[in-house]
Amino acid sequence: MSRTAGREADTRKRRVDLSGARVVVCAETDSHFETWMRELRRQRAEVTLIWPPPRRFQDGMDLLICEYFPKVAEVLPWEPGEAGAALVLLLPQSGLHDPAEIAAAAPHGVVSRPFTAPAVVAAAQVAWSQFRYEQRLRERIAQLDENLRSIRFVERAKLILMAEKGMTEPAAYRHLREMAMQQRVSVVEVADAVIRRSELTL
Amino acid sequence: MSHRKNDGLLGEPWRVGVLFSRSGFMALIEETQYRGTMIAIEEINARGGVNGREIVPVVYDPASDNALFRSQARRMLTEEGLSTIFGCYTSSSRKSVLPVVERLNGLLWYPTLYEGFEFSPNIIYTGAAPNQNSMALCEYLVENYGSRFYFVGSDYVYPRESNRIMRELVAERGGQVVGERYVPLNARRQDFFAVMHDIKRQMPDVIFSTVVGSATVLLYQTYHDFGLNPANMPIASLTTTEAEIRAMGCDVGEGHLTAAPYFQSISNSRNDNFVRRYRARYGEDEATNMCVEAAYFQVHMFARALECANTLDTDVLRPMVLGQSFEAPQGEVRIDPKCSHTNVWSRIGRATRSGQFEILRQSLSPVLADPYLIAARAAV
Repeated sequence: MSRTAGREADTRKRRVDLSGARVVVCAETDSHFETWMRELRRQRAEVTLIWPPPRRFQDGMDLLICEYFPKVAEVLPWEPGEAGAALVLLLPQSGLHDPAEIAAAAPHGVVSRPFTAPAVVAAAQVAWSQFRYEQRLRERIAQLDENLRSIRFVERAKLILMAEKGMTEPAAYRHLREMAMQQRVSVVEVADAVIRRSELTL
Repeated sequence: MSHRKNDGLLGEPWRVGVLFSRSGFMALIEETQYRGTMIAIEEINARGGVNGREIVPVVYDPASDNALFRSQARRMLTEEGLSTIFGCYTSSSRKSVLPVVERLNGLLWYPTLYEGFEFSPNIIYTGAAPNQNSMALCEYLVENYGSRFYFVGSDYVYPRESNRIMRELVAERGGQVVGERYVPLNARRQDFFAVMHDIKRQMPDVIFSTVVGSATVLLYQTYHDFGLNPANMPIASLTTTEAEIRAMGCDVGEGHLTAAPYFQSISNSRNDNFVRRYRARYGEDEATNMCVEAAYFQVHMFARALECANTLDTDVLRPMVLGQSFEAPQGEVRIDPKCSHTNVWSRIGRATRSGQFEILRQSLSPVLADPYLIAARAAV
């Protein structure tokens, strides 16, 4: 394998592995249980077993692999849309499950019994990856919202500097940026200070 | 509802969620939104429902608690199997419900003015955005009272964001914010004493209030008790409606200003009929307000969209909602398909001794919703 190909393989591995992830497994033991638990640990996941299901799981996990049961959504420590961890549900071999109950839990993946160890590990990896992607999107939306709010302040502060100091628009923006870097605060905070100072001198 | 009214209705009912606080410190105004919702549902059902099927409300009381708003919204969308919810007054309750409706693909109809800077494909916003109330109010106040503003608000997201916008609007007009104070959401009377002492020291031209809920009554009463005069230093608000004026005492509220898309005193036949039906349903002494009206017309807009979609599936229903117009008691309103906000009217009213608002100024037509103040940036 060439050095480049090796790096690509490493990158692919990093993208999907569960290394260091705090994984909680809430599942009934069966003849395959030890096999897939061992497979999870081989992924360098920190695996904790909890059985029977608690009334409510605690926060502080990255991935929850949980047996499906009626009202499973109610034992999760979050509401849909604000998941604190990736969730994989293990569906019973009987095929008796309520799709509405599954939707209410909003899992990132499901695996039907009987399953193989590679199948449950793959589902865990996909769920973990999907969960982190969701988190990044949520952070991005929050940041965009904040940017939309704050852009007005930066624009206003620029206008004040242009009027007060005779600066050009690029110079006013550079000035705000330099002030922010010197004071180690955000450009928005500097802009807010410029606006408030300007109001006081009215 | 009597069986008689249900005669002739076919098929399963349309079940919808109703999520307003009927207890706790926000009940004063949210109860009126509940009423607006229910009277519209009753009207629609009395006319035979939607496509021959009755609308059945599933009512929860989140008791002014944001955690309950969130968990009850989840219960509605999961255990109750609903997809459409009418509800929320405070921005903090809306923000609690938002991730849940987004993840479970519900549709929240939100009949309250708010601070803008939000867009969710799972929310239909039918109250005013800042460009539909704050801008007109600021302009009126500067022209008629002066440009020294004092801000007082409840301590949560809506007042802080709303004041951020108002501060900018005041500055654009050469004005100044001489004080800014916040009180707890469930403030007590004594919380306003220090605020009023400070106001007496600063003697602003205008007090801009973003105090909400039961605390509104305490703010205006304390102002009254301190002997201040609304003729030269009014409290101006975006949230004080006929309901709060009635609760504080009409003599206390008299002379103060509110900007809103709707007041009960609007003179047109649709509003006359609306007020008459509301009184017939809830009592001759009861007044409508902007929150009742938005809660009322949004249910009618929902019913029209449902008639076309014939399903409560959010993905089918929402496209039918966007772009829809309706002759509401405030005048014609339209849901902007680009931003899911409603083009509503802009009005300034002054409270009278009778507890109503005398309309001092109004827009010539519905004001296009601009929740991110994009068009308004040109004015900066």
